[in-house]
Amino acid sequence: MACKLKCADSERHQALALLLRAQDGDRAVLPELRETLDGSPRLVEIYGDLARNAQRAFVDMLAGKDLVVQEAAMRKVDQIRSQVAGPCPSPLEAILADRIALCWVHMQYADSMFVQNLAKGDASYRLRSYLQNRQDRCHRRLLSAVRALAQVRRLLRPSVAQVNITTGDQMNVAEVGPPSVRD
Amino acid sequence: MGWEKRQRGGRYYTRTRRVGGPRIREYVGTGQLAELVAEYDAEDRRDRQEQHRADSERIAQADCTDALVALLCECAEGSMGAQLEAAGYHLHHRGEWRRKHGMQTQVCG
Repeated sequence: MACKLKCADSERHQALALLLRAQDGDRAVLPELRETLDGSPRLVEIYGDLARNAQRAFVDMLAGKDLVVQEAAMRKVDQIRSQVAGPCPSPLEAILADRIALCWVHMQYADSMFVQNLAKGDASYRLRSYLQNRQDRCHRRLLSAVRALAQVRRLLRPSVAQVNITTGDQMNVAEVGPPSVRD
Repeated sequence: MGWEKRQRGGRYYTRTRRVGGPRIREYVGTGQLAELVAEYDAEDRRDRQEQHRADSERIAQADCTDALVALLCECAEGSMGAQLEAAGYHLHHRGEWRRKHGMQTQVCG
C-alpha cells in the first residue's frame, strides 16, 4: 500500500516537473508532454479550454483579491453560458455559448475599467475616449456573438415534421425546415 | 516654447499654445518671473509626458487582452462558418448566410 502511494507520488512529481518545463517553453519535452496529454483528458480540459481560461482571467482582474466576488462572478459566467447553451447543445452551440460568456465578462471588465477611470477624475481625455470606444467594441462583439448563436440555431436546426391529424380521413403533413435566406 | 535671445541682449521667455486650430505665441517676459514660469511649464510638460506614457501602457495592456478575446471569437466564427458551409450555406456579400434554392440542408450541428 505504502509502495503504491509512493509510486503515485513520484509519478505526480514527474508530471508536474514535465508541465513546468513545458510551460517554460522547453521543446525537448514535447513528445513526453503529448503522451501525457493523450493519457489525461482532464489536463487537456484544464489547459486546453482557452475560453474558460480567458473568462477566469477576466474575472480575476475584475475581482482582484476578493475571493467572494471571484467565485460569485465565475458562477455567474457559468450560469450565463449554460443558460445560453440550453439543455443539450451541439458542439458548435457549446463553442458559441462559450464565446457569448467570454464576451459578456469582457464587456463587464471594460465597463468597470471605464467607471473606475471616470471615478478617479484624473484620467486624460485620450484614455477616457479609448476606454469608451473599447466599451462600444465589446458591446458590438457581444451582440455579434449572440447573433451568431441565434443564426446557427435557426439555420442548422433539424427539420421538424408537423403532422396534423384530424378526426376524419384527412391528414396534413408539413415539413418545417430552416429558411433559405436570413432576414 | 522656450527662450528667445534679443538683439539688446538678455533672454525673453515665450510659449506657444494652440487655441482651437492655429498656434499662438505668448510672450511671458524676462527675469526671475520668467524663470519661474519656465520652470513651472517644464514641470507641467514632464507631468503630461508621464501621464501619456502611463496611458500608453494601460492602452497596450487593454489591447493585448482584447486581442486574445478577438482571437477566440475568430476561432468560434471560423467553426461556425465551416459548419454552415458544410450544411450547404454560403456567405452572401460578407453579411448573411444563404442557402441555394432547392438544396437540402444537412444538419450536422
